[in-house]
Amino acid sequence: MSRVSFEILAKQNPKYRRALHALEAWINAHPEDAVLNPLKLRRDIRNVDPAELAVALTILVRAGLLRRVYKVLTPSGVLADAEFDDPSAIPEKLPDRFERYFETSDADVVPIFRRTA
Amino acid sequence: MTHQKDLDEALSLVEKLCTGDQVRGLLRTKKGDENVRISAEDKEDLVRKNLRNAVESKAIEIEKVYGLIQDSEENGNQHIFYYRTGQKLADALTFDHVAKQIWGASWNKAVAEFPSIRLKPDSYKISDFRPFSARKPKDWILKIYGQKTIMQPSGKTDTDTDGSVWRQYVPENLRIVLSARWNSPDLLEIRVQRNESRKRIEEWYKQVWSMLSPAMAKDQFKAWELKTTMRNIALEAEHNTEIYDFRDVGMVDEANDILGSFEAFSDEGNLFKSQLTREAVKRFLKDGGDLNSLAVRWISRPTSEPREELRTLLGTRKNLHEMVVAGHCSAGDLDYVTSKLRDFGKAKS
Repeated sequence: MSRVSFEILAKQNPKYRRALHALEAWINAHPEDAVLNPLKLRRDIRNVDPAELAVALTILVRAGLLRRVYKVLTPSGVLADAEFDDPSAIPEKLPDRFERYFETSDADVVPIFRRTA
Repeated sequence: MTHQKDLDEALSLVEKLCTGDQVRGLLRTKKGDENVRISAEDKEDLVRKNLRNAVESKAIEIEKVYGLIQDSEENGNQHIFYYRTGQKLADALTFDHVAKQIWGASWNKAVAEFPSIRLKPDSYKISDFRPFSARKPKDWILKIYGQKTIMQPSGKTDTDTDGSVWRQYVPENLRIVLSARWNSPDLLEIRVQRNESRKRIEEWYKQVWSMLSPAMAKDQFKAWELKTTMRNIALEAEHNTEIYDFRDVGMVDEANDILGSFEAFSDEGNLFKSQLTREAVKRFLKDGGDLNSLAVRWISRPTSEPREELRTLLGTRKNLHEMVVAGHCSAGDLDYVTSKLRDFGKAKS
């Protein structure tokens, strides 16, 4: 995917400049990743407060650069394939990585961010 | 009247199964015709107005619409069970021979009626039998439609005064698409759509064999296990990075009855990006372990198949001759994967 610059957004949101630049650097360092997982971002970007990072992600969503989607953790703790725009649309059962269906009512739902361009 | 009803049902299936791009692609083949409009407000209009008008005015033949449906429902989003047979039976399994065994001497008449779009309530019926591809003239596909009323939770619940909870279930018509695909020279693929109930999958799989029974029996075939194939795919991954990568492996130490697995956390992860994992899997295989599942992503190519990325799960822990194809795909892309499985089944590692 192409390189990104969040300079304009950083100027518009000076309080979150550091977080936006950190996200910009992360995205440019991972051009093949179409998805941003907040857990991974928090692990990779240690010098920015997680709360600021969360707001910066929301700024990118509002700017139309990211789309928030929801995924479900399988019983083994990895992301199931299915993706939902709305967590209420998650069905009662989903397949795990080995095509074994599990009840989603007990599973964790995690928001992730998909790049739109 | 019959033709009109067939068209109604075909268009309803197109709306449900095909993408807007697929429909526009078909309409574009007759671009310039006064009865063909490509732009539409949404997919509903594209199918219900543009495509209907194009078919009713005979600008587009209804067979082309059937073709769209075939592409969408026959390939992908399914379990494929692979079987092999001996040379003698393989040679005998020609289109004509199979048709004659199933429909008798007047098979030509029966086959000419296909494809059939309509479902038989709470039952199964053969809906199509045709040669599969011009590229491989000995190949054929037999398609079965089924319909079953199942009870699905509506999501609504109610609580009684004594604390009892009532969960509402509503009847839902499940449309079932099954098929048997002869992939010459020696492979029979039993294809069954994905479903959350393994019991239903087993039932449908038996249904395909039962409908094939006038022409062939399951015990004439041997399950084509993908054990060697999976092993070779895993061990040769570093030399084939432009062809595939993989995300999850299920491992088995048969001698000690031990199962294990590696899964990349992200659904778009690549297990072999980690040297630690790569070495662990290789070592396990070289020291006598085996794989019983492997989630492979086949990488798309701009000028040849696969035209689109394809995700498959080889083996399902219990059944080593089974492959699950995650999403819909083209017939050519799926055949590409099967031909790769054949290649890796032969390769030595």
